[in-house]
Amino acid sequence: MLRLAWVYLKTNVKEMLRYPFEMVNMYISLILIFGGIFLGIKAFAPSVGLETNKAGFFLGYMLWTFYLFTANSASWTIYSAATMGYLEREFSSPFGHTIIVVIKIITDNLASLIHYLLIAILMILIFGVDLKLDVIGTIGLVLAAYPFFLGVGLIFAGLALNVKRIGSFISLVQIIFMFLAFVGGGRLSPKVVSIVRYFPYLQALRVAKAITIRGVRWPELFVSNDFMTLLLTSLISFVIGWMFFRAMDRQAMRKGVVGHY
Amino acid sequence: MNLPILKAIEIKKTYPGKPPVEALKGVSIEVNEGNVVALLGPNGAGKTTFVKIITGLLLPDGGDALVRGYSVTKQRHRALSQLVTVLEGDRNLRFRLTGLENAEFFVALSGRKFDKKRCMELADRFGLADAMNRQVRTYSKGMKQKLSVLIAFLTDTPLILLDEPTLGLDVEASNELIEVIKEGADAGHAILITTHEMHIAQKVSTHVAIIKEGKLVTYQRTEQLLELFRYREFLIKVRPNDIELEFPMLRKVESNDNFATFVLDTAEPSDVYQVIDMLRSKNAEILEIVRRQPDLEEVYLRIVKGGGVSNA
Repeated sequence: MLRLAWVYLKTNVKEMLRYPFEMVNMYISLILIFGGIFLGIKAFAPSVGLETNKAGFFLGYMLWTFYLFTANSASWTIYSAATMGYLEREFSSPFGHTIIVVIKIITDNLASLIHYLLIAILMILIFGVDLKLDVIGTIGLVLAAYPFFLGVGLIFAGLALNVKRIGSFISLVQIIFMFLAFVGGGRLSPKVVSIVRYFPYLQALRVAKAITIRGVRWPELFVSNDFMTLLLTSLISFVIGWMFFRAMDRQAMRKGVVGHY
Repeated sequence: MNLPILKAIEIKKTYPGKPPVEALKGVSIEVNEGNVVALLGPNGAGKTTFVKIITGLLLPDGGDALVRGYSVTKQRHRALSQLVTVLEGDRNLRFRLTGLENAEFFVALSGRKFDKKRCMELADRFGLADAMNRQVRTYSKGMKQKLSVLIAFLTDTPLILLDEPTLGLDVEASNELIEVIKEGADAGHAILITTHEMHIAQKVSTHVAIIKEGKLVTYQRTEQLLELFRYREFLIKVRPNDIELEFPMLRKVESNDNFATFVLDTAEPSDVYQVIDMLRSKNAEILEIVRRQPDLEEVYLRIVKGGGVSNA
């Protein structure tokens, strides 16, 4: 399995480099969205206090882009393999399709990591974000949130396998997540907060706030309630995503719709 | 005792809908080492459904398929590790990767270790050695098809399924591919091919399976099938060319300036004598009577139209 993961990583990086136009577009889009919102808030809503919490805003945005890389790559993984034609080959791999999709998402994310870091550096330089983060704490946050993103990705992938065109649904979820990243759970009404209290994405934002605003550092952060809750709910989300994908996989096999796009 | 490489047992599949479509009505087949089985049938007969079930893309409603003894429904991963599929068209390659990178990727996807040396040996055999470091998007259709088959042989599984392997290839490329498939069978692989190109099936197959309306109507050795029909068909050339004759299983197939040609579809010599007598009674001059060897295309059409060997 490790050999397969290594081959996926190698081929993903090579393919990525061989589609430079796509890569440049992605860089420009992500930087423009950040710039638009960041400068827009500064210009029209100075009372939001962005100047005092640039790092929090930045971290929220980076969590959102990380979600984009993970969850989107999952559905994209199904869609591109189907349109390029080799989805059925992946589906009938002896490793099992769920394992293949998880390997694909993870290796895709690893391949994107260079882009991700480059985008972060570019945004810091362009918009003058003064970033004083606890690096280990931030890495811990990203790793704890990752199973949740994978779980969402598997749900998207499962839907893409059966429902096929789910682009507009993915866009809607993207917007909701972006809204949450910028508004933060704290600004929602108490009723809504009580419903979405254990939603891992909000938990992740809460942990991000702890790192950036309260300055909580990693030894303390990792034993905090918020972090533990994030880790637990994130893992549960992954299990739900995994089970959902397997059910959808089975459904596609029963209906015979693998590869029909 | 050697296990058959593929044993399909009473495979049934119905697609839901209004009305539901009964695609397979209990298909059983056994494929052994060294066999090249041509799976034939009209469009919509159930060939693709059958192949999809074997390759784990589709769940059957009834029956099972065992690959080297492993059930595709109950031991899916083990069964799938025993086979590799080359699907029809551009569904087997990643176009932005080179030939070599594709080989490494798809071999790894099948859970096997990539052997670069053997890959290059095969590439040499397939006439692709110089192209292996080029991106596949620059390949011709024939080269892509050859690379897909190369990867299948490189994967080295006991069962290889080839879906329309020669579709769209020129004669030379088709012939090269046929040779390679035969070599694969000689090396001990069991190969199942679906095709609509009867001359290819005739050249490459050791066995022919014909599916019609979800049922297996024929499954036997290719030469036996052809032989069976050879003794059933007589070609009779007579003069004058406007002569007409009514006899069961006798049909006029040609009428030119000099003579008419009848085909008599029978296994009974007495039928031939009866027809000769009838022609003589009409003062016809019999120019030639030959036992005809129909090709696979004719045999196929007669089986498909007639409902099976026994009715043909």
